[in-house]
Amino acid sequence: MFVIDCPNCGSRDQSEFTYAGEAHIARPTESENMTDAEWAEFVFMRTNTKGLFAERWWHATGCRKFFNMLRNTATDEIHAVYRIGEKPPKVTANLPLTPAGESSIGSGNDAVKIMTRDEENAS
Amino acid sequence: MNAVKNTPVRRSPLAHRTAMSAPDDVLHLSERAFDAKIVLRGLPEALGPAVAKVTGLELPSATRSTASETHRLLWQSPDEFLLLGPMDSESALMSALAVELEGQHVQTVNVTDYHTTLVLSGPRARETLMTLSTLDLHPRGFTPDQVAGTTFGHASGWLVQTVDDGAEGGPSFDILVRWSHADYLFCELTHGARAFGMPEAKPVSGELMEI
Repeated sequence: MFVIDCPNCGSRDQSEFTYAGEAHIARPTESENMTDAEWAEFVFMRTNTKGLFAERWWHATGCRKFFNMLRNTATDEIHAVYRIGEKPPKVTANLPLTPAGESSIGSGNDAVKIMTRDEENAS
Repeated sequence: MNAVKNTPVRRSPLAHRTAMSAPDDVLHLSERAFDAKIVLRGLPEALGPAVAKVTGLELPSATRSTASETHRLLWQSPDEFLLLGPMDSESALMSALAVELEGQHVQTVNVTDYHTTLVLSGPRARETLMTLSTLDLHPRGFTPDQVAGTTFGHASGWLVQTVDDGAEGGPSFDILVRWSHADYLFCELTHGARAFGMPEAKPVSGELMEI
């Protein structure tokens, strides 16, 4: 279980929160000109990142506000919590070692390789 | 304390329950039905002056509440507050707030019959709540007038400490719970307090969450 720092209410247990998917996906402005493929991209396609991931959470039983979180999906470490509309802060993730104890980057083991998040694209 | 549970026009969700106590006055559990409850939505700048004029209360800061002899104002989110008042005062409060908030971008909703209030008091109240909640309920972690929206077992509700820990008879907590969850939570609280000698209440329907 996580303990999540709600920007409004403070530290609370994960059971009070609801996960709300990937953050920073803007609704298309000229939707009437979009093809089916572009709609599918907006509606369904998510990055499924292993590593640092920006996601939305909803404090369902507390303040009932959405907020964003930067979480390392490989280690479940929460690196930052920030409000809707704010840009994600720059953080450095501690990457997990491979089962053999090697660094996950450059070990040659693609199964545990961590992809760091491109912060410029997300903002 | 308002012990009224039945009037000619309404019946409380726990009208079939009576107040319960553990031996040696370590814990008391009762329902205070029909408090006036009004949700205030809007920016604090708009709501603050109107609420102060109608009730004399200042808007509370985040996770806090303010109280007078008759009213209590709970913070619920940055743009939402819950005003509690005496029984049968909801219509007068709504009218007075409507006059003060005329033309402003705010919303007031009468939710008197949406929640009911469970009152849990006594030296063992904190430990009883700990059996159902993930909140930090140490006296340093949850202080008088603090407010938290959380889950108790399967029921979600709002917890507020109304009486200080140092008071005679121990602290007292109000739990605002949805009407249809009130019987479940009443029984869960007696279940959680079995260690202190509280007799157990069985739910009318459904079943208890065994811990």
